[in-house]
Amino acid sequence: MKTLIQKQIQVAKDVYEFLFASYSPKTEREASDAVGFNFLLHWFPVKITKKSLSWHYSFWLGTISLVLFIILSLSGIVLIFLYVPSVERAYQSIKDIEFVVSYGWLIRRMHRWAAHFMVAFVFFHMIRVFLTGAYRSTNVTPQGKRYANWIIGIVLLVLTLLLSYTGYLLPWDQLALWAIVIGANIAKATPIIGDQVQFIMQGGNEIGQNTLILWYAMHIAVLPFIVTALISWHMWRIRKDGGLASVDSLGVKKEGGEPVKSKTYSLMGIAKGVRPSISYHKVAGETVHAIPAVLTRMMIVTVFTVGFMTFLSIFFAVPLEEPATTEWTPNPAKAPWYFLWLQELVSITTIRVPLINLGIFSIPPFTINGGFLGGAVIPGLVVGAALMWPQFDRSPESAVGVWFHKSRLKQNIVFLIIVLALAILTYIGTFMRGPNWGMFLPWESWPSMPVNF
Amino acid sequence: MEEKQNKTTRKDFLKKLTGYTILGGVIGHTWMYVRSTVPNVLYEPLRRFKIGSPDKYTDGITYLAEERLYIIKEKNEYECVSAVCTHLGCTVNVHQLGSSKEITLPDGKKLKQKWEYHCPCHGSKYRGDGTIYTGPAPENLPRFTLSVSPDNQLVVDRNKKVKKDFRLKV
Amino acid sequence: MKIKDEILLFSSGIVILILTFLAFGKDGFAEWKGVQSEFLDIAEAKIGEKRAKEFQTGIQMIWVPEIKVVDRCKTCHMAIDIPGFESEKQPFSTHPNLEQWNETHPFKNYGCTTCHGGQGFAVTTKEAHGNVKHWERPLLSNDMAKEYGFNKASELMEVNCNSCHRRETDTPGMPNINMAKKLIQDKNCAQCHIMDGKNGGTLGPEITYVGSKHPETFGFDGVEGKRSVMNWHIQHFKLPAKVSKGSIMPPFGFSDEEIRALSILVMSWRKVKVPMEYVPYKRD
Repeated sequence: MKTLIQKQIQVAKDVYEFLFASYSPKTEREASDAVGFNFLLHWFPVKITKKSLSWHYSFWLGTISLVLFIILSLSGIVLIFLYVPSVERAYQSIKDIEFVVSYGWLIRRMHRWAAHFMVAFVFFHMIRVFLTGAYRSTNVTPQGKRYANWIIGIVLLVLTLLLSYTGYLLPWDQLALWAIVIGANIAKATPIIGDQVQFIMQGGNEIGQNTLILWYAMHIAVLPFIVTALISWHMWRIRKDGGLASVDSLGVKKEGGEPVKSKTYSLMGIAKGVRPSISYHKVAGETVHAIPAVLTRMMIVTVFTVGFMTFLSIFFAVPLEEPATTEWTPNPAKAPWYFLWLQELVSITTIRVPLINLGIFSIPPFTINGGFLGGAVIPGLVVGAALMWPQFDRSPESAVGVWFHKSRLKQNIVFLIIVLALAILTYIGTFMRGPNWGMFLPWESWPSMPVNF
Repeated sequence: MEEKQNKTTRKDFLKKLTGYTILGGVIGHTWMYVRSTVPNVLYEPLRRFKIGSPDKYTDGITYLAEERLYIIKEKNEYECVSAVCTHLGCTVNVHQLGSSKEITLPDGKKLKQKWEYHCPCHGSKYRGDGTIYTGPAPENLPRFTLSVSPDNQLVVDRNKKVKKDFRLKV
Repeated sequence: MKIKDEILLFSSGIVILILTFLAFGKDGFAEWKGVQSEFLDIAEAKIGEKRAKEFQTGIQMIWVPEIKVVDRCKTCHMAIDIPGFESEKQPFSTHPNLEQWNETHPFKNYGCTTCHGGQGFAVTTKEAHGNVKHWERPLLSNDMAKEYGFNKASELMEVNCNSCHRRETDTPGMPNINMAKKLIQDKNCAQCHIMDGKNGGTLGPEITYVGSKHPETFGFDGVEGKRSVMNWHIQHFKLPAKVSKGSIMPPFGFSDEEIRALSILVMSWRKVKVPMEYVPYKRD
């Protein structure tokens, strides 16, 4: 009996070692083996340049985005058990999550905070990649195709926005409903096929149960599948492209042996020849074992990100307004913050052109279709430009993986101006557009919403 | 040499402590997420509920249709028998015997009964005390505990089953 | 300043552990749990330990899907339907006139918010009493009643009574509404307004369901003081043209008491679905 128990204890120890030994290797050999012995570590290289580890090159923004996605997936899975996607019961199910589900309030807030921060950090990550010119490969890593990863990244940004938007509708409160009404009507402004676009988007002529279940399916299944697949591809490409672009500025050094004259043996005799030798080009730069160096930093980023989201969730509530109804519209009705730049663009580009008298004939008054121009054309051009820009970047290879390289000054400035414009439009849309879409300066107070009693 | 030793053990200790704190956070969060899937409120009829004042019940057997219960009152003693057949869940009917009959139970004891419970679905029959005597039902009809609430109403608690000799004395 | 990775990782672990404990605490020490244990002490002292054990702990819920009621008020108001606690302070006291109300409007069939207003879903005082942003039917409290000139909450609450008792006259327990209904007849409001969905004049707008009009859809430019629909009606009855620009409705010279009653009458005209078992009828 005693030996049976002792044997089970040994089995337990073996299981523990099987699962976790690779995370804290005790020798250089173990560290090298770790990435091949453990499933979760298989993405890591054996060795990594110290430069790649730098906090201030990438700020680990991509890692933060990934961690936020994982937080969203886990909290989202729990919420699937608790939320009911029916127009009669959705709102009530969220009230229940807030009040009677143990830790429901925490999980819901984690989900919403992580969602907003993921949109922001994916965007910051894109900004960093652009400003360091990391969307190109050089002959230091000639097998790489970083342009492909840039495209995958832009697609991921769009999908992140869509994930956030589909989730926005699910509480089925006034905030949710009207945000989607606005989006659907901007989609309707597409010329020729506008009505059909709106019909497909809504799952019908109105925003109702069809819309809710359609967007719910997109939000919990379709989009997460696609995003997971693309994230995996995105990470795989990082390895294929030779790691972070900062590595390319390290240059290459030749290592290895020159052929050495030696004896060699042929059939039945001794011949003169050269010993087999290997020479190779290696990225110049001090390297360390990825395990535990990268793992430690990844853990730091993960735990602090989860910690910050937990902190926000404990102390700051997320909104749930009145139950959705078409009988009255909240004043003002707005898209979620990450689309407010688009809503502002639409309102700015909707211009009523008065009658133009040219003497012989006159052009009758017309309205510029701001919904199409500001809602589809301009955002489309911005995304299209972002996708295509790497082709037009003529800066030398030495600019790749370097913050604010002199040769990329012009493009960086233009890029930052566009980013600033988006930020300003978002700010105006959030803080300066009050009831009736009126402009309120930051110090002017908005009229309070009237109540029944 | 010794200093290096101390440094290593301090480093190991820190590593271990870090591991445990993070593990604590992981376990804590996992617990919260899993716990949230166990409901605290149920949109179901209550398991413990009031069925009116003891005075409104007549002597004999009363059927509560929505709750699927039989309430039996004899003088000032009350019993609560479930009307759900233990075979496959049909509602058993009361089969009045006209006059009070005395029968001998398998263990030799005698039972005076005024009615029996007959199930219409597959022919299970229960004696007046809810014990099964023929048919496919595997068990006797369950009985639930009765109590009196502070505002003087009978309270049934489905969470607490009782034996067939349980009586609530009011 | 370079901070060693091990220190960073360690501090992150401490941070997450502390936050996890905070989250446990916030959920574990919920407001209602403290209230319940305080009540059980009071109950034990009042009716003895054995009977006090009969009280159920945990979130209590009255669920009536027919009238869309999900009320968790009993979680804190544990003795609301138990006679004998009348002298206790809220939330531990028995409902006033318990026997009478529980007979005509049994709590397990009507819930609490049907008559009192409030946010039944909630289990914290502030949220449950519903005087929060984005909840349209707050608890009609004594303070709120006095704010509008009534003496007690039950007068203001008549606005909820009449949502079901609309087709009756002289209903016991609704003095203000009864008076207002008589006024409507005497002053012949139907001459200018449709009030029953069919008959009436068209000089003024149809007001059959004016109680369901959302506050956002009223114009508050001419209203003084608090921007509430109640205030809008009160000031409108006093001098219609001040509040409703271009209105041809004359001021009728109502007294303040009459104006209060008329205001809650029109606010009670809401679109509600009343199931058959709930339709009021005169008991002989």
